[in-house]
Amino acid sequence: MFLCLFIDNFRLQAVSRRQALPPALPTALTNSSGNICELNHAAYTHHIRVGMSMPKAMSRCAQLKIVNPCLQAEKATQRLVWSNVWQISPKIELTRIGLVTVQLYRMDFETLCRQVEHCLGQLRRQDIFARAGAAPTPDWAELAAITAEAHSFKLKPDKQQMQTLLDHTALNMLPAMNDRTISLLDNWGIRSLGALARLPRNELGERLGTSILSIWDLLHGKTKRLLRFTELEPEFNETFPLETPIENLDAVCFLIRRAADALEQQLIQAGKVARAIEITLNIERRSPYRKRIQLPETTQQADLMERLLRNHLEQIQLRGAICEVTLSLDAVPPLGKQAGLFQHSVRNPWRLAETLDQLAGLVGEERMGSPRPINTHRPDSFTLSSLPTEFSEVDEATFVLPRIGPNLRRCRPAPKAQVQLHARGPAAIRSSIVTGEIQARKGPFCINGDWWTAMPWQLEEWDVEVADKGLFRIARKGRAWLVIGAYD
Amino acid sequence: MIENADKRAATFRKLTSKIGVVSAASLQLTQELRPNHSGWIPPSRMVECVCTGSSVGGQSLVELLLAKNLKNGSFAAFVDLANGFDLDSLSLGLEERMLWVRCQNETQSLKALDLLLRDDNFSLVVADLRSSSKHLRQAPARSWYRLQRLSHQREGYCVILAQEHLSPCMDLSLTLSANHRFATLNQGRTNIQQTIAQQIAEQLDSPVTTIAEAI
Repeated sequence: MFLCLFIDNFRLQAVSRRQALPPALPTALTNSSGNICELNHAAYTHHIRVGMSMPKAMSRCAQLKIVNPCLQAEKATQRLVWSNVWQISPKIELTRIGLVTVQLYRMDFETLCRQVEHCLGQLRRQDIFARAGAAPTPDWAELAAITAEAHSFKLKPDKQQMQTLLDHTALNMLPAMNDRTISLLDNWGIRSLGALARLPRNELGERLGTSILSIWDLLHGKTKRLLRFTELEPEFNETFPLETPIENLDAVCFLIRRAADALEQQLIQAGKVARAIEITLNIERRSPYRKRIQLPETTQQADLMERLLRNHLEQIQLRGAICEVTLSLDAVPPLGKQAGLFQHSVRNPWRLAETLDQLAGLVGEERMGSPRPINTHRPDSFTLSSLPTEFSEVDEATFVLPRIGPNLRRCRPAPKAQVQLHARGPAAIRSSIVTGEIQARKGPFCINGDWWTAMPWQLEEWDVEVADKGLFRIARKGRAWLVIGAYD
Repeated sequence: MIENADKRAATFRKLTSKIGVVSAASLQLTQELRPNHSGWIPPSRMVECVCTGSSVGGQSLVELLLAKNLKNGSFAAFVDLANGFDLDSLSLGLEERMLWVRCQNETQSLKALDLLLRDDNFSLVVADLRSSSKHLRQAPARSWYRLQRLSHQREGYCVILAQEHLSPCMDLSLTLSANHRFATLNQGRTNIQQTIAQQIAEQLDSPVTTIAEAI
């Protein structure tokens, strides 16, 4: 059994998809001589036909969008079609532009119908409108696909059903038939492929030559050509150049969704998962915006990638309109790993990534994170790192170290204070934080560091109890007194 | 259909004659007013901890909460409006699963709280809003109610440290008022935390305090 996918006006569809042109817009593709070679249904309704010159076509429809063929777009679309069909069977032949033939093995019709409908639906979501047909020979499958209704699947499992189809198919539907033969057969009263198939082979060959014999054999399913299978290497990037720059987030997200869907297919086909995603937005007359996002978990799902990117884009502000969107993935083989019995992991890593991204947008990336100490004795030295997504079992012995005294609550920046000294120690303090008589004191604790560098530091710290206010840490830095914080 | 409704009504009448009628609202109220005998801050509630001074144990309470949370193996978030968190005095290892969000103003801190309470990955969300009680009291009530609803919908803890009572929609309001004494500087951290836990337990176990705050 063979399956054929036929994409009418393939080159036009490829360009329209790349430029995100709406299907309702009258669009036509021109060839090298400047004539219309492919057009969509909207253009057809404006009485534009294949072979017309551009001025003539424009005179019939002023809104007509004329596009040129784009090899890159065609390749990307072909790859997308190939990846989608690959999920049905890996034996794929790229027969010609807009036609893909697949060899099927041991497949029941119910499964086949479901898979083909899914494949057509996936392509439709990418603005690729295909039709499919399945039959016992590749040529019959092609005929079934060409004669299928728009966006649907025509299954002709045996010779009898195929004969019925041929009876209802016009002669010009077969690509191998030329106009002269069609008009001749028409004069004989032969108007369908079924009627042609019923004519005797030898007599037909005597009158019309040997070329008609191959057509006759094709209609009788006697020729079973060997398919030339093609393997396409997956490419994990999608680019959408835009003729009209966009400023709207929803429009960007629409393109991101489309790119993510296409990349998802590539990942499935390659059996890989995405580890990181990079988005590049080319901005008019500005340097491009680039962001690489490490995914919280490796995935193949377009939904999750799109949500993460949308969430990120909501937080940023660009200084111009976007003229190109590129999405690329860092694809890796899925890692087989078993978590330990007592190992904790994040409950919902995607939600966590979203929350962190939103928080970074709210307060700034440099103002949030997991605090980590730096290897120095300088007080209040820390760095903010990203939250770990996996961690091992909690060992209380490693973290609960005996500490003395209450926690400090720092004043940032430390306010200046006026300190009255008595017996070489502070006796009273006056500052914006605390004012009063010092009842008890402990110190000085002299600390210094970085004396071997150009920026040495030196502090003389005191722990003091201020009457009715509590415990505070104050410090002398040079000649100035500072309130470091309160023991809280 | 009507017969079924009549049957149900009759059954309901029989039941109410046996056990008495209790409205859903009063059941809810009974739950709210019931004193918390577990001796610790309840989960799924928005708990306010009013620190009347600068040195009453608010930061030590934060460390205590972080330590309890670390045992659960989930994340904790600390929304710091005062920007006063000190890593040097924190017990080593407690920062492992902690997210520190340093907000610059009240609006940011309320929004950050909103985002964090929506995420189930954080089983503990603590906010230190002590530096700006006046502005926060002027925040629209709907902001606080939204936070309250979010706290109710999640399983984790939500504790807000404030200088004074911020909003009437807090589920529970605790007070830390005893200033640290000089001798506390030589006390072990565990002892200090026990004292604070005891203060909280006393307030939670007291039905009068809880009823008053719930109302």
